[in-house]
Parts: sequence; C-alpha cells; structure tokens
Amino acid sequence: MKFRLFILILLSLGCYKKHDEIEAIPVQEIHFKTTLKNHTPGVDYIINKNLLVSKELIIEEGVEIIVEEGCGIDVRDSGSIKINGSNQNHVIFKSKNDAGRWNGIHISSPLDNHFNFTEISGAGLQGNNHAAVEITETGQLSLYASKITDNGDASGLLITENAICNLEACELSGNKFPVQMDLFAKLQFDECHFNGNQHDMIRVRNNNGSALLAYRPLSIIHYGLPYFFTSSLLLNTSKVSIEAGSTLLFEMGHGISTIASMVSGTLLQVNGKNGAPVKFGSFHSGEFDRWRGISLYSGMHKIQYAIFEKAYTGGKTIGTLSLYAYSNIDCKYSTFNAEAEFCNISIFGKYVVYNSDIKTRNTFKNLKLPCML
Amino acid sequence: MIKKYYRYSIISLLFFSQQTTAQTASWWVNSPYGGIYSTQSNPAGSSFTKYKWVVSPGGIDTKISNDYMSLNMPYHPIRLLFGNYPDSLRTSYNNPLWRWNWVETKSRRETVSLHSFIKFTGPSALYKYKNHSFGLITEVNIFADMNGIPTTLADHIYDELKKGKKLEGPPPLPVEDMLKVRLNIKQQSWVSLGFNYSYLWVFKRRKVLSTGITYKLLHSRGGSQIQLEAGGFKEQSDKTISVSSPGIEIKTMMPRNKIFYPKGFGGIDLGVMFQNKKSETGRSNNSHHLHPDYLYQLGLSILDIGNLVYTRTITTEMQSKTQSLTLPSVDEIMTWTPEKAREEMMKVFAGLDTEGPETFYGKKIRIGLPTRLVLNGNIQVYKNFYVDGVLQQNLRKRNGDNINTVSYLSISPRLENKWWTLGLPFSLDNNYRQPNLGLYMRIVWLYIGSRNIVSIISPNGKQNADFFFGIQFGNLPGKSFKGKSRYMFMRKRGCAEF
Repeated sequence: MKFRLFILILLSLGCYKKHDEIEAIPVQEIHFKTTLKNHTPGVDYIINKNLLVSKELIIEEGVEIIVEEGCGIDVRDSGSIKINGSNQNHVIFKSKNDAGRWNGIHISSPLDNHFNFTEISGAGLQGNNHAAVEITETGQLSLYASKITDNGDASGLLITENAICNLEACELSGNKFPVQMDLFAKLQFDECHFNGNQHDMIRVRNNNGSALLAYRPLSIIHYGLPYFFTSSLLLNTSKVSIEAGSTLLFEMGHGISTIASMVSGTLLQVNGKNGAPVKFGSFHSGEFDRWRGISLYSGMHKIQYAIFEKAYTGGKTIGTLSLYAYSNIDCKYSTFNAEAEFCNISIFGKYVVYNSDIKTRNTFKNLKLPCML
Repeated sequence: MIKKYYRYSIISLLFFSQQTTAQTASWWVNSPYGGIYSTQSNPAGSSFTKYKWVVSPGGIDTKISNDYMSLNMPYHPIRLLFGNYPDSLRTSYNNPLWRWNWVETKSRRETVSLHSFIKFTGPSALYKYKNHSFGLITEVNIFADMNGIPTTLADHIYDELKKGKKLEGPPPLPVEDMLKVRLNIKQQSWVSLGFNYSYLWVFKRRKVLSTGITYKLLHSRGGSQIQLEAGGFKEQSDKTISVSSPGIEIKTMMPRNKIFYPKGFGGIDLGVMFQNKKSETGRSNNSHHLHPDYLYQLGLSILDIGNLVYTRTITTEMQSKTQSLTLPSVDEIMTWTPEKAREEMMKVFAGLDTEGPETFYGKKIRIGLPTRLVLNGNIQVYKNFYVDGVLQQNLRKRNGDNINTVSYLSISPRLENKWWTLGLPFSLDNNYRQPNLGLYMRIVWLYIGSRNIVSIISPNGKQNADFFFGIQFGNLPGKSFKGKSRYMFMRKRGCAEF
C-alpha cells in the first residue's frame, strides 16, 4: 500500500509542472540578426537592462518575455523587430513584478517592424506623455490582432511626426489614452477596440513639446475616436480639413487660431455632413472648463455641419467663432451652443467677409445671434 | 620570470593532465567484485556481483589526454605540492623556478588536441533478489574536448613564450598558420540518476546469461561549444580566386533550473553478459580447485544511448561560404587611375555574398551522449588467476554536437580473491595510438588504479596517465550471496551426466 502511494506521489509530481521565470534566458544586446524561440511553456526570456536592437530581431510565436522594472526595448535605426505571434500562441510582454512597470518598446527604425498577435502590458513606467509602444522619428510599425493593455498612466501607443503606425483588429485598453500622436503622425486603424482606457480618445500632442502648428496641409481623419488637442491648433498658410464625424476636444483655454496674416487661400475646412457633423468642445467636463474657440484673422474658411460646445468667450470681442481682419468665412448648417451671455459668432471689423445668410443658415443656442462689431 | 599565479596554474594544469590521462573503471566489468563499477560498464554486470548488497559512497574516474605537451622537469612535479624542490631551483623569494623549456612539445599529428572526461560516481547501491538485480547509480560527468589548432601555430605560440616575452599581450600569430585553424572546443557537464535492472537467465550445463538495462535521468549542468573555421583564399587554374569566408558557431547551453523537469528522454545503457561455468567445477570431487568458478565470461554493452537536450541556449552562427572572384589582370590594373582601380576592386568585392552572423535564443540543441560499445571478456586460467580484456569503441563523431570518448583496448592478467584484486593492464589508449602499462588493485572495499602507472611514477616526458579511485561495500548488512540455479543441487549429487 505504501509502495503504491509512493508511486502515486511520484506520478503526481511528474504531472505537476510549474513553469515560471526561473527558466527565462536573459536577452543580451542585439548586434546580429537574432531569433527568440519559444523554449519553455512558461516565461522564456527576461530583459533586465535596456535592450538595444540594432539588427533584425525576430520573436517567434508563443514566446513570453518579462521585463524588469525600468527596462525596455529600444529598436534603433538599423534594427527592426518582427513579432510573429499566432492566433493560438500569442507573444506576451509583461512586467516582471505585478506592481512594477517597465519602459515599453521604443521604435525609431524605418524598416519593416510588425507585431502580430502580441500582448503588451505592465509598461508605462515613464507615465504621462509616454506610451507602452512608442514610434518615433521615421519609425514604422504594423500591429495585427495585438493587445496593448494596462499600462497605467501611459498611453498605449505614441506616434511622433513622420512616424507611421497601422493597426488592424487590435485592442488598446487600460491605458491613459489608447493613442497619443503628433499632429502630423500617420495613423491608420481598422476594426480596433479602444474601450476601457482612462480616456477613450486620441491625444494630439507634439512629443517634443512644440506647438501644434499646421505648417503643411493637414487632414484630420475621422477614426471614430475623439481627438484631444492638448494645445491650440495653429493655422499657418496651409489648408486644414476636418472629416465629417470627427470630434475635436481642446484643453481648457486652447482652440483653433490662425497665426499668419494676409493669407488668401483656404485654411480651415470643416467638412461635416448632415448626420455626421464635426464636433468641437472642451476636453474637461467641468462647468467652467471651456475651450478657447476658433479665432480666424485671415484666409478663407468653410464650415458646415459643425457643432460647437462650451467655448470660452471673453466679452463681445471673443466668440465661439471669432472673425477678425481679412478673414473670409462661409459658415452654415452649424450649431453654436454658447452660454447665453456670450457671443456665438463674433465678427470684428469691416473687412471680414462672411456669408450673408450666416444668421439664418446656422442654429444658435438661446437665439443668440452673431455679434457684429 | 612570469607571474607567480600564472606559473602555478600552468604547472597545475600540466601536472593534472599527466596524472589523469586514462580511461578507468572499465576493468572492473570482468570482476565479480566490480559491483557498481562493473554495472557502469555493463548493466548486465550487476547479476554477476558476488554480493547480495552493494553500497558505494562514490568514486572518481578521470581521463585527460593531450597529444602535444609533456613535462620535462629536473625533479618530480609532485614535489612542487610539498615545496620539496631543490634549493638551486628556487627564486630569491623561495618560490620554485620555472623554465619554459621544461615543457616539451611533440605531436605526431598536424593538429593539437586535448580530451578530458571525468566521471564522479556518487552514492549508489545494488540489490539482488533471486535472479533479479536492481541498482541505483548516480554520476556526475565532466567532459572537455579541444582540437583543430595546427601544430605549427601551437609551436609558434610556445616559441614566443619560451623567448620570455610578456604574456600580457597576445603574441603575433603567423597568418599562414592562422588560416589552417579549424578549431573545435566542446565542454559539457551533466548529472545522471540511473535505475538499473538485470535478469539472470539460467540454462543447462551451467551456462548463464544476464541481460541488463540502466535508464538514466539526466540533468545537464550546462555546456558550450565553439567551432571556428578561419577561411582563406586560393588561386584557381581558371584565373579566379576562391574565397572562403570564416565560419563560426558558438553555442552556450544553460541548464534548466528546475532539476525535476528535465528536457529529453534521458539515457540508456544496454548490456548482455554470458558466463560459461565449466561443468566439472560443480562436481563434489573437484579437489584440484581447477576452474572453481567459471571458464569464461563474455559481455557486450552499448552505453549512453541518448541525448542531453537543451532549450535554454544561445547560438551564434555564421556559415563559411566559398565563392569565386574574378579579378582584373595586373596589366589591366596598371592602365587605370588609382581612383578607377579602387572603384573596380570595390565592385568586385561588393559581389561577394557577405551574410552576417545570426543569433538564435532558445534553439533546441541535442548533444549526443558519449555512446560507446564495450566488449569485455574474461577467462579464468587458474584459481584466483584470470586474464581479461576490454575493448571500448567510441560511436560518436568528434566534430559535431556530441560528447565523445576515446577508443581503447586493454588486456590484463588479474589475481583476485575475496579480499583483494591485483591487475596489470596493458592497453592501447587514446584511439589505439598510445601503448600504456597500468596497475589496478582492490583491497577489500578500496578500489584504486591507473592505466598508465609509468606516468605516475615518472611523469616527465609522458603525455598520458589515468586514475581511478573508489570505495564500495558489499553485503551491508547480510551474507555473501549464493547464486542458485536449477542445477546447483547437482553439486551434492555428483551427477553422472556431467
């Protein structure tokens, strides 16, 4: 009986297989083309210092990587990262300690970088204005069926100017913002889910801290998520068009403004449609947290089917939509929801050109008509 | 004068290699008192042990061989350990004087090689029950092998050392010799827990056959492997140049931390032993004590079938490629401007396929265990006097993902009774190349010996030695095991048919 019990214990020990990080291999700097293979059912690799990738790094399906607090992956110009997870065997990046956080993956390489069936969590050590996956300089990244989740006060993705990011069937949740991007960053996504973040919107902020200046033509695409502009969108001499259905939210005291004078071409074109208006509003929901509105000093502007919410105005000279100097506007089918004591539209000066039916073709809350000064 | 620590390390290395250049415990395979050591060489051997119980606290079985260096010191190197060296060969700080010409180099081959295999036998036991034998054998194995350094290159390095140049900086190496390098360095260590079982088949006319198997659970303790091809270039008859790029493969194999969940299926030893007992020895009137035990014994075993499997690995490899280059003729080059010549040459070399090295993490690597075939035979010439032989043939390639042993043949006359054993093996070691004369003995429970006893007595000028030491106890507790067979009763009856 004792012998049988002994055999039973031995067999049960054989069936019990706990695979934790003690079998993980520390990954060294990537100076040669390198492939990480799935070598054990548990954690395969540990990154215990900042991993510089200066050659091709290929990660095969099923690989699980833990990263120590304060460490991350830096894919340089000459390097690339290709994560080839599969539907059955995802590639997992996570923090070594549940309480700790790692720095995330930083890609500045313009080569072919892709994450397929990849799960990234526990990053975001650097917090606000950083992300679990950062694509900078001329970096490029394609994500397919990947998840970037639970990265604390950091965003899921950060894309800087000139960087390109394509997402398909991805899930970004549990982050501060799913995406933070520079004004001219290139982002495309299809069938992605961005629910469950602190703010389910795209934060627009130049990573180098510069102003959001539209120095070249810019098209604001409707992705289904609101845009949050952390500072004013400055129109220079190039056209900025906003797609129907888009929502633009601004930090308190910021809005859209022209900075160049004597511009004759079209600068702002709001292409709302009936049933898919373009919405402007404040990021914050407090009663007095108002955005700055739109101030136009020159150039031609066309606004149709727009909804303006809770803009800050200052007396009669500053309205939700303020027109000055030589600006020329065609505004119709739009709704202005300024508070009763403020101007919805403020037209200042005799050189401002506006459509004659501006009062009748738009809707004004509290019947507050444009202020003519 | 070189630094003290460096001198001692070199002396220790040379001395150690001198004292441990042998294949060891295998001679016990023919002895009925071999016990654990016999079972290690043939898993069927456990059936023939004299005792019902055998318990071994351990043993060490070492082999290190080189075919290049030997010591030629003016005194026995062991005196270094005791500080008993001549006063004339002391420094002013009372340290031993060292001269590089005390190291002799001599190689009959074009390359230098070093082979080392050390086996520690841990606590082990055997138990016999009727015709069944059970064993538990633990081992720690350490293996190292290096070959492929051209003798001319080794000579050059040694000459530089002899000239007394400082060792801090690497000596300049001749390009010609460097291009001949085909370096292969391997190192492995592993632990095994073996479960032995053997069964004794009894046939008519006092013939018995034992079949045995030892299954080994393996836990690899890590290893590394470096293979390097220097590459080179050669002018072809068709006015092209054949360029071989260097090839390199570096494997780092790390052990699994959880020893109870090893990768791989372990290793197996298989063996069979046949014993022919002369029928007359069973007679009651065997008063002359001729052939009291058996006539002869033959055994065959294949040891260490299987692989060490590593998954915690880092491999960096670059394949050597041979490509042809067509260079412009010298006359043509002479007509070009330096810029054009440079440009044209750049074009030629740009055509070479220069794929860089590639690194793999977590690649499954199988390292073949040192599979070997062992044939053993034993003839009882007279009471207590035997002649036995062992042939070991390595079955693994030296170059490749294998651990390999060296082949050898040994024949030894042996005197043996219950209390002691004394054997004098003559062997052809190191792949049948080096003849050696050895000595081994047993004093009750103590086992000791060397296949190259001369190199222990006089190490100077010898490239080979071997060493074995072990302790095992029989019948603790219990009496000597008396094997029974269907025909044992005939001893009493003195059957006529015999």
